[in-house]
Amino acid sequence: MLLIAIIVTILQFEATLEPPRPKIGFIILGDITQPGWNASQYQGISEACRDVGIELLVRDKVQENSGQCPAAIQELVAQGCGMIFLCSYAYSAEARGIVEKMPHIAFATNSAEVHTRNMTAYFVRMYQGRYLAGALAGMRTKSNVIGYVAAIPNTEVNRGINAFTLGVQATNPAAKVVVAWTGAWEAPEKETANAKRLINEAGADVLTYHQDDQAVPDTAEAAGVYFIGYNTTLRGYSERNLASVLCRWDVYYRDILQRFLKGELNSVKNHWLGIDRGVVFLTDFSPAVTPHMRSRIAELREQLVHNKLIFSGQIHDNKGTLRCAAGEAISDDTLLEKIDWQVEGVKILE
Amino acid sequence: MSSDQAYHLKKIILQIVNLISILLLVGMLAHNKVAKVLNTSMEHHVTRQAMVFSIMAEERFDRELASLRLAAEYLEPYGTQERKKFFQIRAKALRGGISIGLMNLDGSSIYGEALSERDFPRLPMAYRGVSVVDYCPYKGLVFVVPIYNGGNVSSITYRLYDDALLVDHFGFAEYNEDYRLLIQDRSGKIIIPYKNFGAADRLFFNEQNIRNGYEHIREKLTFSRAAAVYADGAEGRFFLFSADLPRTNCSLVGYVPWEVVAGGISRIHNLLLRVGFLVLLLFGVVSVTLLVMQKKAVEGEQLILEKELAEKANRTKSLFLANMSHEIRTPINTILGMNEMILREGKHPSILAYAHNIQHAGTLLLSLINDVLDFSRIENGKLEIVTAHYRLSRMLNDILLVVRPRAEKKGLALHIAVDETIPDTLQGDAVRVQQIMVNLLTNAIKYTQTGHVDMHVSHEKNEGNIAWLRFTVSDTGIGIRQEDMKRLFSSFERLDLENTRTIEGTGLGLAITRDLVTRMGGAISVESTYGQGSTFTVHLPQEVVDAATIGSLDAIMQAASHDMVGYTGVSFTAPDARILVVDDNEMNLLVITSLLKDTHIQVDTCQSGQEALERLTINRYDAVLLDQMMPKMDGVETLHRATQLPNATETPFIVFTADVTAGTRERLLKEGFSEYLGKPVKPQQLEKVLAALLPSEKIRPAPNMPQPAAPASSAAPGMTELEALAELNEELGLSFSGGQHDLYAKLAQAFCNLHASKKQQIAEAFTQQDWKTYGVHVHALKSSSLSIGGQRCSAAAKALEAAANCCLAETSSHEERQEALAYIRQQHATVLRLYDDLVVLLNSKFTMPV
Repeated sequence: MLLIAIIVTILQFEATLEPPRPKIGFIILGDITQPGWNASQYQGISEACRDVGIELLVRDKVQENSGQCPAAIQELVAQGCGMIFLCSYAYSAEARGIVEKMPHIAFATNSAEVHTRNMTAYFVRMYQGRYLAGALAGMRTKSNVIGYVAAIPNTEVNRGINAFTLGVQATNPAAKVVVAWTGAWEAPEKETANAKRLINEAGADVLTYHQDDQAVPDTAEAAGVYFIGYNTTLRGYSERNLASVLCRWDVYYRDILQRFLKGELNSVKNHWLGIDRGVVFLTDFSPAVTPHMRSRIAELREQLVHNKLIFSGQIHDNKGTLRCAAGEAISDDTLLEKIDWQVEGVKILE
Repeated sequence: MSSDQAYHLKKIILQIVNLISILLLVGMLAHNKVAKVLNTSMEHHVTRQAMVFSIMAEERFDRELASLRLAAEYLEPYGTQERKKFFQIRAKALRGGISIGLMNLDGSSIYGEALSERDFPRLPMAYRGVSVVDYCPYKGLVFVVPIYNGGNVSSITYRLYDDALLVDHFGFAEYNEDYRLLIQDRSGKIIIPYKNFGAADRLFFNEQNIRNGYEHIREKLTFSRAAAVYADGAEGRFFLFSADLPRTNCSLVGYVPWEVVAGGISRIHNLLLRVGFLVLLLFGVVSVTLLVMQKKAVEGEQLILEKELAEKANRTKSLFLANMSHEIRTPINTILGMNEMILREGKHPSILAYAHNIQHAGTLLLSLINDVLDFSRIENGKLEIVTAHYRLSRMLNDILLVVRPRAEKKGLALHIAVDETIPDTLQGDAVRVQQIMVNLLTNAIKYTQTGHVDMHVSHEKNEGNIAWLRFTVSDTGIGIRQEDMKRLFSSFERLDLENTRTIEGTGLGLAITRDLVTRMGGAISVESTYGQGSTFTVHLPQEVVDAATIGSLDAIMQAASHDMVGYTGVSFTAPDARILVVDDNEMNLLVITSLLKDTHIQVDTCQSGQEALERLTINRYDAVLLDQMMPKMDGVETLHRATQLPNATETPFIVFTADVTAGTRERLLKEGFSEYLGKPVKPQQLEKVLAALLPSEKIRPAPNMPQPAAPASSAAPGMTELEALAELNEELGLSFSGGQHDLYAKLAQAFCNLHASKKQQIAEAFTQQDWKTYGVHVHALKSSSLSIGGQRCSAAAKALEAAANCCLAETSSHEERQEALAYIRQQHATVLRLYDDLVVLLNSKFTMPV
């Protein structure tokens, strides 16, 4: 018996040198079971954690600007999280103080406007997908009016609108993009109303949107208007659902977690992955998308994969200001932080 | 026994071998584990080291980028042509192998060579505003930085290092000599080798074990920036490591000899190994010792067990011996008792001779049995010392009584010298003191064929009221060999067997003697010359009760003389007295009845306590002799019941028992008995006890005995009575001298020589009316004259002594004193005349000059 005990003791000795399994925390605004942004984020990160071998602790339904976020951060750190994802736009501004007090914890935020040494802005180059979606919309429209229901004119939304518009112009220079603001990420009634106005007042025959819910596709489907989905694989729609801009969040999260484990996130301001890494793509084409359209889109995609810069060459905004001269390219930093304009060809539905 | 030992040895060796192999197994396991753990921790160490190297490499790259960025920032406000001009100036200052350039976003060159995206795939990242480090085989290592125009990137600038410069500029040789560091690109091509990198190093990296090690590292690098593994290479043990350079498409690779990392740790490892070995050795030795000790302990336990068994068996035997001895005494008592009757009543000379022989053999048997009994008591620790008052003179008297006949029988001279100043009345165990002296004396007599046995009694010193008595017994016997001395006091030892074969005894005498002496707090010693004789000396502390001294030897001798003549007949008669004798043994009843026949006492007998009680209810007895050991109702119980009876309230009860163990007498007297008699009952003792206890009015002197001097009465011996006694009884005198005519003559001469001075002393005391001194001198005259056979003189002196004592006694009334005084005055002259006559007679007899 004693002999067995001795041998077991010797054999178990190794375990003491093994580092403990790392943990990360994930804080999100909505319910992680809710389809759209919340579910896609949660599924992405949980899959990535499973692959990489990290334990995931989740705090969902955490309200912005309510003090719930800093409290959740403290809880997660107390439970041993080495990295925390702040997965809603306003979290980083609210939690900035507590983030700076925890230099040993890596933070990641999807807002590029707040910077601290231990916080990395994490984004996908979704605008590349928007560019391809715009190219599809430009080819599909007959009225040359494309409707865009958007939440608020922040850098991310503007970047999407601009890339979409540049895509439209790449296939149909005559087409215009009409944007209707809702003022909120989740406002189904307003979204429905805006979509109806875009169809009925502006005469849009293709719609897209930047919202967390699916009020716009529902309205478009009901109105018999083409639409392009965003961020979620839409199901139960007709061929009017031309395609969707999707993001492989699991791929993105796997990459950033790998960098976290390798200790490469120190003082990394932005971590952007794009179409070249297969994180972003336009997919689920409906029969209404012709083979010609598809090959054109594939061509444009190839250019992007091979480092074609969307925001390069001469670009004016819709007020006539030159935003990028010929031979120049808008840098990533500017794209992330300072897009407060819409490109020429964008009309705002008042 | 030897096969048993061999079996034990085999078992022990097997156990030790088992133990050691288990320990070796555990040790090897632990050793492997320790080595593994050490390697793991060293891998961690090397990993951290690799990380540090990678950070240093990155910093070096960062320095390059920072200087480029500075230039880019400087160039920001300028247009394309000014930028180009700046580069033209700058390029002149560059060393060979380093080239710089300025490029448009479309990949066209403004200054210098246009770099291809195919050669440097990371180049377009610069268009997005990111600083880039990239490598292209044969082209070299490039650092690219964007030049901004507001928030937009307007062109990029680069600095390209030729392959040939890389080792000098970015090699790690100076960081750590022991570490071999190189930088690879992602495809595994070595970009920056270490100095002196050659074919041997390529072989090293191509070795299968090493390649496997790096493969393992690549797996680890998925989730960590740096990794290290331990690998056994052809050239020894190594730690291989690798680390990412995240800013580039390169990684850092290297290896380090195991010894470099292990350094001090390996010494700890060796130390542990050695200590472990020593501990193993120690353990082995300790376990062998323990096993041997355990075996011995088991054997020791067995020995103790065997010893206990042996002791138990011995105790059982001793007990059996004691019981048997006790049982044997009873029939011997009967034999001796009946033999006593034969001696008294037997007429036929040959029958008497047979009876004498029986008496001799019986007494001897009894003494042997007593020895055995004493010895078994000593063995069982039951022998007790019981102290009581006794008179030394009386004891010496008794001793002589026993010893003298034996000496006489062997024709040995027995010389007794007694220090006159010894206190007479002492406290101690008289029975045992007497036993010691008798043992020594009888031994001396036993082992002496010719010559003499001397006894000297003295006392050495008084400490408080303790007198240290010294008895010295010396003989001219066979002596003791020097080598036998130490066995002298051992049990059952008979020394010098060829010379002592014919001598009777158990061999226990001296062992018992020594034990008794030791128990009394005394000491015994012996000096001996083989063939010439031995001297035994006993020192005994005895408590002094009375300062009165023992007096001269004569007095003792005289006191002994009564008994010396042996049993001559009953000392009194009491035809009116009636006694009851109770004993369950019919023979004993017969013995006692016979012994008392001549006293004419009316003796009733019965055989049980119950019967005795019935008798006592009916009759009134003057005394009752009660046996202690009786079935059903023992002596004590009978006594207790009897004293309740009206007829027996005043009756003295005498207990007699074969139990002569120490303390019995005291215990029985405490129970209420008036007197105690040991069995076998001695006739004199029996008579003495009865004489003391029977009502005095019923006692009459025996017809053949002189009336006991009655100092209180006027019945002083008249002349007629005196004249009836022989003036000189030579036979009696000779008997006192042990039948030796020489001695008798000497004693007589001494008696005559002392005549003048003694007579004068008596006369002086008489004229001074010092009756005390007078009594002492008259007493001495009584004793000394008797010892030479002057019976008449002695008797007269005795009467005077009694009268003198009466004068002095406090119990005497005034009339009695006057009467005694008158007697002295009347008889004083007569006694002196008798004294003179005796001296004259002796002088004529031995014709000695006065």
